[in-house]
Amino acid sequence: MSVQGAELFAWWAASISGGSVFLTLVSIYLYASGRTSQKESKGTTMKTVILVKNFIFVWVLLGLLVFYIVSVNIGSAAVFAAGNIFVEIILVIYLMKNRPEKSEQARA
Amino acid sequence: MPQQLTNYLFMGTVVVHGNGQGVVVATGKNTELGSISKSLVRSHPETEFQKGIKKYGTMLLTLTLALTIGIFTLNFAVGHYWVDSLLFSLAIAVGLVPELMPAIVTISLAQGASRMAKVKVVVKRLVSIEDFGNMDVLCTDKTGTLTEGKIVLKDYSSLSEDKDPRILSYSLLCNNAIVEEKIVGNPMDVAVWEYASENGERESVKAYTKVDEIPFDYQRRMMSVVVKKDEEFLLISKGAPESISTKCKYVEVEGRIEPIDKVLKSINTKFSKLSQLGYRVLAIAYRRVKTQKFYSAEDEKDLTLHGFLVFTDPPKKDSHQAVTRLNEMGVDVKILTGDNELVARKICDELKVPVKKVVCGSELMEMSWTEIKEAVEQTTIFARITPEQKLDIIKALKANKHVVGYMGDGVNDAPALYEADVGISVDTAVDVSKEAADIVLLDKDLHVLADGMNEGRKIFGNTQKYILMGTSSNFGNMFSAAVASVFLDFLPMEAMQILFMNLLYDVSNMTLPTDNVDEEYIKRPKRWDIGFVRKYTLFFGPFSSLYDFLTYGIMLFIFGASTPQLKSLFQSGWFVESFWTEVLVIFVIRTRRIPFFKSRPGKWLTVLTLSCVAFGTIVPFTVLGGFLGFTALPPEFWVLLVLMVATYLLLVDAGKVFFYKICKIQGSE
Repeated sequence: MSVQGAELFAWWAASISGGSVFLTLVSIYLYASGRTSQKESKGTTMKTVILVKNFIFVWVLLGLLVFYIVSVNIGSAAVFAAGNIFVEIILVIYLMKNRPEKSEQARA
Repeated sequence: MPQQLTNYLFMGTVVVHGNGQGVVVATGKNTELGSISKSLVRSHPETEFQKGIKKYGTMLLTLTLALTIGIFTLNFAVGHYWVDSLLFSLAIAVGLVPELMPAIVTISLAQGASRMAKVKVVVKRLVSIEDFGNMDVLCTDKTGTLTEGKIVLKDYSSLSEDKDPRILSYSLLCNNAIVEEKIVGNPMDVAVWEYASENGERESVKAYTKVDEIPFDYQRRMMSVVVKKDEEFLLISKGAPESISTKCKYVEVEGRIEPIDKVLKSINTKFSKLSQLGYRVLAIAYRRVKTQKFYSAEDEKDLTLHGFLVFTDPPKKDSHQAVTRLNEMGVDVKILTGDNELVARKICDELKVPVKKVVCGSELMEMSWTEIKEAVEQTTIFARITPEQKLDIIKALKANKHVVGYMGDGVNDAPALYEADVGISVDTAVDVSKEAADIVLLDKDLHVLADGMNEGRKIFGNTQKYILMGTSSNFGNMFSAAVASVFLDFLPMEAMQILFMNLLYDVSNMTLPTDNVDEEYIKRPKRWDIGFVRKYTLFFGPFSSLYDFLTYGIMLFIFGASTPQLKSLFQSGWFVESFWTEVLVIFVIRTRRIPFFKSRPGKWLTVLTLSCVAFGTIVPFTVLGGFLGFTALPPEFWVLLVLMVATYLLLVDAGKVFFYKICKIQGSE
């Protein structure tokens, strides 16, 4: 099988999207099984805000996917580089905000 | 069948009473006991770690087989030459197999054993190191671990509190210590002889001749001897007061012989008081017997209780800290002792060791298997237990899914040492106990044990890192190679290139056993949790694949390497990117700390990993690179690569927040 040009791009975009969707589904599965084992979902209604907050990682991931597909489609190394730096800043902020407290770290 | 040899006496048999004549037909390893001992050596029970490795191997084999067959079929179906497809799928299979695992495990264990030797822990069986670190219940005796282990005869007295020298003489006669230059034997028997030597009372027994002996056993909890003096035969018994008192009809008080019933209450009170003070007490009783050919346990009746021997074994000063330290490390300490409940409790009180519940051997005997399994969970002290009951306790704890360590130094500890996940003995123990043990401590000290456990946990931690690395980044890379092979006109990486990358990756992992392990990781015991490994692979594996796909996009659409003529550019780009991500991710995966650089990696791991990355980076520019089919990469690629790998590492770190903190997946601990 020989795929070229637009078809090749479609294959590629489908592969990377497939990978991201798979990772999103795994995240949902892990989140659900984690909650079940903690029995936190029992009797409480998970607020949308908390759900959105907890899934920030997934939103970043999906955002990255869109950015990567667009930048590769444009074929510009500069756009790709700039976008990466932007995402890295977001990820650093996310990590700093989720840095465990000292007591939490000791308990881990 | 040994059972059918009814006229044979087997090695190790204890003759309860009687005598006989026989011919020795076999000795040592040629006996039935010898053959049992050989079979024990062959079939040492599998450790928790070995079971875990086996499960992991099965999981990996399933994955590798499925992926290899799938890749070959797909490649062949889309029109690739079948030999290329076969080689490619086999290379992927090789890439997936953590072939360095045996080396990593062996190096980890050997290095760990060497480090443990420095903290006075000698490892006899390397595979037990991980279980040693991860045990969550430690069963130990009291003598020598919680106490100084030096039993001293503090005092002896009759019921009227006077120091009748006959009590000491009788206890010297009813005694199995071997008295030569050095006194050796049962610690209590030795203590009696040492006391007599110090006080010049050894000569008092010279007038007596030993006629017969009824040996000690755990059912009677007493021993007796028959001695002769001036044509008078005397049966002297020594043992646990509660056992001796049941065999007594009389009691000697101030030279008078009285029925025991009158003073039984005061005897029990005296015994309880001494026990509550933490003293170990033995009772001495006697009766005159007629001359007869043999004496048996049936002759231990109608005795006259004469007095008590009071022994002391002071608690170790640092035992409290040691037990607290073990508790903080997630190890529940259980005391298995032949002493009575009061003595054991007193020692624990003195050492401030919290006691949840005390169960005596007699109570244990009445329990069903289900009740024993429940009892072992809540009990801290098992008092007055037999060697068989020690075995039952360990089996029950193991059945409750605990990793059980057993520490003992006596002959009767050997079965328990063998049955436990980790048998721990001490340098001064009897040979059979050291033979049955996995670990030998050069000091019978719980601090030494705790130091050794820390090393065990570090080894387990570093082995886990390799496994998590292999199943996540490695698996991700191979998976993306498989997908790309379907839609590209050429293979994303040649078989030889994959094998070369695999070799470099393995070299970079060689120093993993020397890596630092986070303090918080070794705080609690860990268990092999294949479910955790599976979830980890499922979640972290796709990260690597995503960035591989991204590299494909860059190589195909930014650098235009989409034709077979430019395949070496594509392959070089992907080789460098997948190697960087595969190797550098160790710095993120090796710790649960956020951000990852808060945990300092080992010096050698850092040096070797970065050296391998540097080597992998320059390979496409070298003759070797040309031989492998690589080509030089444009400067823009390197800028994009650095940015892309930085994003990848940060994303994996963010993934850790989601995995550990939000989903609360910790593995079985």
